[in-house]
Amino acid sequence: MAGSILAPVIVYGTVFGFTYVLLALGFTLLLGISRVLNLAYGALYMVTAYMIFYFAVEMGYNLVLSTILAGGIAVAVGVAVFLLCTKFAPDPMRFLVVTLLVALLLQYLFSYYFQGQSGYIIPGLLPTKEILLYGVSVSPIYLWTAGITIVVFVALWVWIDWTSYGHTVRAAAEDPETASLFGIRVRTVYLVVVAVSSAIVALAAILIVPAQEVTPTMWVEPFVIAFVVSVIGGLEQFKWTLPAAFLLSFSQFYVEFSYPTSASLSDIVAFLVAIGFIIVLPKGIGGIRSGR
Amino acid sequence: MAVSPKRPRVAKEWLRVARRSVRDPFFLAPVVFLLLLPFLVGLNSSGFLALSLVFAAIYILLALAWDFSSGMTGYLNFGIPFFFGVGALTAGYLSWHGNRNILDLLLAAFGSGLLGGFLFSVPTLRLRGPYFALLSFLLPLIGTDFVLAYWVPFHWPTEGFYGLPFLADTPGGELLVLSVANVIVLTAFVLLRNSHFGLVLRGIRDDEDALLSQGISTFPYKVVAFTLASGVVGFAGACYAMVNTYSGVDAFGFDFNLFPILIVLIGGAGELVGAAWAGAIVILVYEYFFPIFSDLTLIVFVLVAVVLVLFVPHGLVRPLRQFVKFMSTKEEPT
Repeated sequence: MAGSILAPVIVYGTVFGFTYVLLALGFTLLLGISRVLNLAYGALYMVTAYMIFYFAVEMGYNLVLSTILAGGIAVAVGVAVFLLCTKFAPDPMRFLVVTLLVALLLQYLFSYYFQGQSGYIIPGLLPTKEILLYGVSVSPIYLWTAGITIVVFVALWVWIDWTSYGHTVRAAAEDPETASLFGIRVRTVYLVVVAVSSAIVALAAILIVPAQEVTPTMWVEPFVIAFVVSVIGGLEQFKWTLPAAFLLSFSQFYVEFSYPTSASLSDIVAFLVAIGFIIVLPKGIGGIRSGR
Repeated sequence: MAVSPKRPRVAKEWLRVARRSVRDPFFLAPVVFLLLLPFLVGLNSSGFLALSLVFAAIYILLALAWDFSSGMTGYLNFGIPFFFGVGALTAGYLSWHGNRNILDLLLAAFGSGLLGGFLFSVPTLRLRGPYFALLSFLLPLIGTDFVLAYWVPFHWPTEGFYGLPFLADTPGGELLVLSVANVIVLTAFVLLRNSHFGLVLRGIRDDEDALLSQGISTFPYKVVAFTLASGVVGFAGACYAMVNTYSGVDAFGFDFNLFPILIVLIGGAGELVGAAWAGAIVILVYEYFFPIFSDLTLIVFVLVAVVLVLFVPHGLVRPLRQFVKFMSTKEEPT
C-alpha cells in the first residue's frame, strides 16, 4: 500500500468500522433472535432523522427532547411493523415484502410531506468541528460514535450472555417451542428484542446523521451496510459484527483511495465482499469458529 | 437416421401442455385482449391512452418476468431495475455506436439480461434462504455506482445515451410491438408453468426440501427461471429506452421494483395471467392520477400493496378462478 493512502485508510477504516458496527448490531441481533429479515430496518434510521428535523427545526422544540421523541417514534414504528407482520404475514417471504413496502411507504411519505428529495441538515448533540488524526481530518461525531458503539456492544454482550433475561432471550432464539413449554413468553421476548434493535438503529441515526444530510432515500445505505456486515459475520451472530464491520470498512476505503473514480465504489465493494463470502464462507466469519 | 425414442414422448408432452394451456379461458382472454388492444386504440394513435398503454405493456413484461421467477419459486428478486438498466444501457450504447437496427438492439438487450441474470443467479442461488433476495436488492445500487464511476473514463456521454431509434413510428405502433412481445412472453411462461419445469418451480415455492429429498436438484431450475426472467427484463429495458429515445442511469431507479411487485400482488403470485390484467389497470390508474395527485398516488399504491400482502395474499385471479370453477360445476341431483 502506498504510504500516502495508508493513514487515511487506517483512520477512516477504523472510525467508520465502528459506525458500521452500530448500524449492523440491531439488524443482526433481530435476525439472530427472531429469525426475521426486516427490510424496514434502514427506514427506522430515516424516521429518526426526519423526526429530529421535524421536532427540532420545524417545531422549534429543545434538541434533547426532540431527540428522545424521535428515538421513541422510531422504536414504536419498529415494534408496530413487527407486530403487524407477525400477525398477518408470518411466513418469511411475505414478511420481507411487507417490510420493504413499509420502507418505501415511509420514503414516499417523507418525500411528500417534506417536499421532494432535497437534503436537510439536522442539529446534533455532539460537536462538529473537524479534528486532525494522524494528518487526516475527521469529524468528532464519528469518534464519539466509536466510543458509544463500544459501550453499546459490550452492554449488549453482557445482557445476552450474562443476565438471566439474556438466557431467556437465547432460549427463545434456540428453540421457541421448548422455551414456551417452560413458560417463556416468546412473543414478548421477540418484542423486547425488536425494541432494542430499533433503539440501536435510532441511536445510530441520532449520532451520525448530523454529519450527513436528511433525504428520503437515506434508509438504503444503513440497510446495505447492516446486511453486508451480517453476511460477513454470519447472518445470525451479533458478536461477529465487530470483525465483519472492520473488514468491510477497510476494504471499502482501500478501494476508494487506491482507485479514485468520479463516483463512490463503496456499494460495489460491499456487494463483491458479500458475494465472495457467500461463495467461500456462506456461514460468515462466525462459521469458521464453529467449524461450519 | 436414427430417431431418439424419447423425442415423440417429449413432443407428446408439450402437445398436452399446449392443449391444456389453450383450454384455459384465463390464459386465452388476456392473449386475445393484448392482440386486439393496439387495433382498438388505433395503430396511428398518439394520444394519452396509447402512450399510457405503451408504459403499461412495458410494466406487464416486467411483472411477467418477476412472477415467473419470484412468484413461482418464492425466491424474491429485488434486482429488476438492474437488469432493466442493463438492457436500456446496452441498447443505448449500441445505438450510440451507430447500430440503428431495432431488432439488433432488442436482441442485444435480451442477451445482456440473460448473461447478467445467469452470472448473478449462479453464485447466489447455490444457497437457500434470504441471500438471493438481499443481494438482488444491492444490484440496482451497484449498477448506478458502476455507471457513474466509469461513465466519464469510458468516454460515454455523461447525461446518458440520446437519440435512440423509436420502437415504432407512433405510440399505437409501439403498443402493437409490445403487445406481441407480451403475448409471446406470456405464452412461453404459461407453457413452461404447465410443464414439468413449472411443476418443479412451484414445488420449490411450496416445499423445496421435499424436492431435494426426492433427488431433484432444484438449483438448475432456479437458475434457468431467473436467467430467462432477467432476459425479458433486459428486453423491456431496451423497449423503454427506445420509447423515450434515451437511456441513462435513471433506468436503475428502485421504483422499477415497485410496480412489477404491485402488479403481481394484485394479480396473484405464480398466476402469470393475473399480471396482464392487473398491469393494464394499475398503470392506467397511475398514469391518470399521478399528474393530479403526484407523490400521493405512490403513497396510495404502496398502501394498497401492503393491504394486499397482509389480507389478500393470493391476489385476485385465484379467487376469481375458484368462483368460475364453482359456478361451472353442475350440481348432482340428490
